[in-house]
Amino acid sequence: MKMYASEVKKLKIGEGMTSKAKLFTEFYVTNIVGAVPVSHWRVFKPEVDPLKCKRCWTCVDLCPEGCISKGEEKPLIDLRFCKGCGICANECRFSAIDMVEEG
Amino acid sequence: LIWWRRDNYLQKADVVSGNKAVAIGVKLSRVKGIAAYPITPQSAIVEYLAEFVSKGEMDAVYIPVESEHSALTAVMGMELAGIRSFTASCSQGLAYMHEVVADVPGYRLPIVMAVTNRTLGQLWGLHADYSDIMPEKDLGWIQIFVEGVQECLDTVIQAYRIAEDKRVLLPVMVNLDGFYLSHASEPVLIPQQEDVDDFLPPYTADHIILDPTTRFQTLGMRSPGPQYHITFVRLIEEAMNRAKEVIVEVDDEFSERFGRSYGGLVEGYKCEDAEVLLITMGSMTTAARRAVDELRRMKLPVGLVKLRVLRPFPRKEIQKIAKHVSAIGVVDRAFAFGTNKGMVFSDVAASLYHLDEHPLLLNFIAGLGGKDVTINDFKYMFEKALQATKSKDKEEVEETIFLEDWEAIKRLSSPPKPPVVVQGRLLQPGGDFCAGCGIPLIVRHILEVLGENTIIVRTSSCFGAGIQSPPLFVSLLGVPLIRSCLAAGAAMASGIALGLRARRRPHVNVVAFVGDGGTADIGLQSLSGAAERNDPIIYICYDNEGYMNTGVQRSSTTMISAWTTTTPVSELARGKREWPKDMVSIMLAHKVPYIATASIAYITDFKRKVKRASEITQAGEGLAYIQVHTPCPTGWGFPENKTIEVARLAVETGMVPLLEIYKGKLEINVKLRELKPVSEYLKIQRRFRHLTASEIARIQDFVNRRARELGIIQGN
Repeated sequence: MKMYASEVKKLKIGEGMTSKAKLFTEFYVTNIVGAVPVSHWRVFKPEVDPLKCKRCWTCVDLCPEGCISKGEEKPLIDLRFCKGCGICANECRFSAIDMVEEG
Repeated sequence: LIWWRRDNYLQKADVVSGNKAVAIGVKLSRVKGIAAYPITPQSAIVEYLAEFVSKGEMDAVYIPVESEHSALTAVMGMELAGIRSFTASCSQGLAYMHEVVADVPGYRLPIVMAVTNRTLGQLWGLHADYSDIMPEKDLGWIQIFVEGVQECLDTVIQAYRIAEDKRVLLPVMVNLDGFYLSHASEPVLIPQQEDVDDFLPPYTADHIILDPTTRFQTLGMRSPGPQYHITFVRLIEEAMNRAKEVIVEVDDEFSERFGRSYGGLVEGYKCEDAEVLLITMGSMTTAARRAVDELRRMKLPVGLVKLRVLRPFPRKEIQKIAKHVSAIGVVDRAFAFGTNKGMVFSDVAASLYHLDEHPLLLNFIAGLGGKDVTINDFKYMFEKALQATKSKDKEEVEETIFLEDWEAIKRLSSPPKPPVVVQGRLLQPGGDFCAGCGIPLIVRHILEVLGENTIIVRTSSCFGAGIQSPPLFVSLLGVPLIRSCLAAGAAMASGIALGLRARRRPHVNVVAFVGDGGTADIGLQSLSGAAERNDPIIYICYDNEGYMNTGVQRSSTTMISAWTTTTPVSELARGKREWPKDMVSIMLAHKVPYIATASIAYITDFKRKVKRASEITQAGEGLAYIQVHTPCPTGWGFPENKTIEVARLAVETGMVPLLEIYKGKLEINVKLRELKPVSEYLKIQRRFRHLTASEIARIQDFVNRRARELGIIQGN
């Protein structure tokens, strides 16, 4: 009698697991740190005009995601982690950052 | 709108969610008292009720209490004062009110409470299972489980009839599965108010109402003592037993009037000639029905019993059904550790023990943590039960079957590799925080100051919700993080800090990073204790003026007149009525060495304060309290690029004074030449859109007075 095709295969926890995975699973602990790209959240992306930028680094301090870092002549924006909130553009005293629609 | 006429009863057809159906049921029951605290997935119930009350559709007292413990206690008080009352909760909140839950049946108060069942405990989950209700089920409450959204509405009305019946006088919990029912919308027929009034008489709990103006009556003078305690217990159990007939009667009468019946205590589905039965509860029953239909088409003798009422347990009914079948599978959505079985299984097994011949009993553990129990899962369970009738192996039948997701477990066979790691960052980017949220900004700067030797204690909060974006076993934080229960963030931090000191590690910064609800509302007791003991912790409260991740409810730090979902704005209601709680003064009264307010618009100032707090706690001076003003674009209603701008305006208008108090000495960190008008801060936010000139003037007066008192303006 086989009416339900995908008969569940019984697997013991830990079977075929590395010792680290076993430890994680049993005690629900971890020591792995990682980031999550969020670029798909974005509708507008920031673009910096290096001519207007005075390197005050306000945007570096105030980006909620912390995805802006100090560069040689202008801030560098790691677009993998930019949600497009536009705080950097809003806070820039020299209007050096523009929010432009994602292409 | 469609109007539906059936046997002279006009009913309105609408499509509503389970939460709204419960709220409508409460409104139709003419409830006069509501006290509740928001928790996912229950929040919408109390939001709808707040809306009904504010629009004048409901004539009720609405107490937005500061914790679940107070919610049920306040409801007890309202019932004792003689009004029909209601509350709702689930999961952690229900567990927090456990003590009060146990108190209610002893006073024989006919309270009705909705529980949007949700996972309980450290294996944190937001979704439906019965681990929250199982610890409460034996405390003397009638437990009804509903299957659909229509049943939510109807059961609330029935529940008041049952609870207030003079033969019963016991509280009732109406259980609806979190998200599966609470957030699912279905077509619902809404009875007319006068018809419900006809069905449900006005509340008269004259057995217990405390009203010295009419008569003297008191209760709870002393405990009955060992001589009588057992008798009181038996009396409650007798009321429970009488409730069985009342539940059936009420369901029958309801079906006569409104044309809908839910089977009383249990509902059988195609079990007349069935050989194998499953016992299910709640929303999963619908999938089980479909599985029965499909197997019946294949001429398999299967049937289904929906356990509608878990307490009082329908022993006789189960016995009657069990006599005719050869195997019963009990589907449990909660597990009793140490018994190897689910809780409902034990009840079913106990009720069948005295039968001369009992069927085989199988136990399936399914749907834990909100896992969907599908039609295929039920077919699998039926197959197992049918196999068991032919099997001679008793041990195999006895074995509990866990319906796990083996495909997902296989994926755990090696530790997951995070897709990206950003070097040199203790808070990795990419949390689930709303765009423009200031919380990751605060945490990043805290960790930049405090470094690796830091432990962060979090409670349920936006922060807690936001950092859960990575896959299982990947952490967004490069420092240890622990979730504490919402009411005890400060206690968890105290424990860790003192424990580490006992192991001679005073240089570890223990930071309690808690929202304003966890600080000023439910967590105040724990914070007050830690402050009084002056434990060496850094307590950082990020104040976004409300419960934002549960859907923007008021907290005690919400500004006066602000709109939230529990302080709606209508012709009759003008948003929050109360002034915000002044946490700085409360902490000052505790004489902790360091108190500061900060703002995300003044990051340098904030970082300096975190540094100072760290020095003070490490020197063993005691607790450091920092309250950071964190505007919430989602909840306050302003564009997400204006978070910092709004925070800055709050400081410049004097709404948020930036100050620090070290050993009682006050220092104003940001002095202003003059205050900007508060309207500049208010007009940018949707939550203050309804404010009239006089309401703005009232806030302006408050701000001016405080600015004068504190000396915020230069030259003063």
